[in-house]
Amino acid sequence: MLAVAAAVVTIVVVNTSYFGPQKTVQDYLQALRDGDGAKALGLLHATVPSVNAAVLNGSGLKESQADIKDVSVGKPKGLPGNKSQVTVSYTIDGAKLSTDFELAKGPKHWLFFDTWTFVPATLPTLDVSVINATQASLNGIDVNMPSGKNSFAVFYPGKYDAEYRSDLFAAPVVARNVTGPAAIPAVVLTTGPTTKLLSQVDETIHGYLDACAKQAVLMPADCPLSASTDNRVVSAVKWSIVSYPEVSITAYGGRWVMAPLTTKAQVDFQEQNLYTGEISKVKTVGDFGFSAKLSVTDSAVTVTPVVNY
Amino acid sequence: MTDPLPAPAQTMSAAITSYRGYVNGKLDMLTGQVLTLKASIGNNDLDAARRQWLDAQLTWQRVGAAYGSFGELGDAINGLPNGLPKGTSDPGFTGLHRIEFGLYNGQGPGQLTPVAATLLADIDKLRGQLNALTIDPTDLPIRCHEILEDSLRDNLSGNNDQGSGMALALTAADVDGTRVVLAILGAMINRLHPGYAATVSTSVDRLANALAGTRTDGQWPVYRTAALSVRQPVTGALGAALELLAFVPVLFSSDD
Repeated sequence: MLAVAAAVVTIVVVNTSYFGPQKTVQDYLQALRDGDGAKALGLLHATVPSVNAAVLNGSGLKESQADIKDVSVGKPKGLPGNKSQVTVSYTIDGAKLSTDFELAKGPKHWLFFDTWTFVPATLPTLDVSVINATQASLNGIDVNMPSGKNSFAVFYPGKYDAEYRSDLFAAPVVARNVTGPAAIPAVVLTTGPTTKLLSQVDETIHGYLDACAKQAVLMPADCPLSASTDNRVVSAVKWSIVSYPEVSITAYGGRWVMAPLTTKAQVDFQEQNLYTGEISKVKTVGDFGFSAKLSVTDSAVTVTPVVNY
Repeated sequence: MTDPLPAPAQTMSAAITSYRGYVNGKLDMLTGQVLTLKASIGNNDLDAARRQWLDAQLTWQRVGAAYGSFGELGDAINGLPNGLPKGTSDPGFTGLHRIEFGLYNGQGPGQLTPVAATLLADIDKLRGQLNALTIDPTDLPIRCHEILEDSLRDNLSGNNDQGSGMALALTAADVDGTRVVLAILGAMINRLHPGYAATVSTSVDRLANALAGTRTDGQWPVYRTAALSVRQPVTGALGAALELLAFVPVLFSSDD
């Protein structure tokens, strides 16, 4: 009698611990942590939408689990029709989140032990777009972005970091925490110039203006600087740049454009009044506007200042 | 295939860039399909795996014009046992056709899971190398004809059938691949021979219709057991399309 009771208890304990719905969920979570997308898919019985699968396996999948902490698999809650719901609670970057999994009871193993399988669902899709680029990175995986956009099938729960980084342009990381199969807000990567690019352009503009300032004439050739007088200039003309323009590069119509530039410059010279013969010093500070054309390739940017007379 | 066709390119360099983008998209899709296939094999759900193998194989066929450029990785992904010392038992027989062989010859997760894992890794490698792979400017016009030439030689001869009998489905996917190359080269073909792109496309459409006509309730027939009356319209339309497609590489040739 005692042996029978012990056997029943053992079966119940083993069935709950090793064959309960929680175990299936734990196996699924472990497959995600291992970056084993095929195993996770096999357990989840999920349909993969016909989109990019870059983060469904390997390091991209592993990375999606890296920030998931304090994971707790809750007790199964019975649902009608031999189903069960298991809630997994966890935190991502300190935010408390949870995912509900629905599982259905299958045939028994070795007469006594239950099998539980996930109720099939479709994996959610993360839509990502990037301004003026055809590449991006999702969880550290380089992905193609034809016409600046792409869609990615993702597992849940998971955290997906999208970003774009190149020498000259970059978009900061945008993260999405995916907790279930529901729609995910789209990610827009707002690309902008890197500090390296800005300083490269800055340097070119400084060099251009400095070269303009070296021309000892009232209207330096191919330059925005200009001064005029009705009198005779009797000394050397000396230009100095008081302040250089602030460079701003923005996306416009699929290209990169520079905002109009304004520099402040001072001109010094002596002039002789044509009627009185009096010689006087002239020292004028003025604002001078110009624009610049950007030509961007994968690895280099050329800046050409443009002056309209 | 529901994908929209790529826009016509004005130069061969633009055509190659456009084609590379198309292939990238197809390989991305193939990754997801093979992952699903591996999952079903792991679950011993072989009926689902057979359907998923076909999806993956058709995606590979649609890559079409590029697979000649993939070298050993191309063979690893889509090689045949022909010429291998141990034939279908040879460890060098890998990839999609190896999985087809297993799925239609009584193999299960034990034999096929490692094959699917290797296939997944090979596709991943190819995706990583794709942007650095050289596609010769002469490749696209030649492949425009050769994709369907290969269909005749490999699919409709039964040469690459490892048990599925899906020659007509594979040929239909090859038609899709041909349409993509035709769409990209269309403007250049018309510059060299006005109106020829439309003439060829009409012929390819006829072939697509002949192929669609072989399906019953959305299912492809097993080619080796299909009646002659089912096969004849396809082989006839394929022959006609090939005659017209054969002139495309000639148009681009610089030989006298």
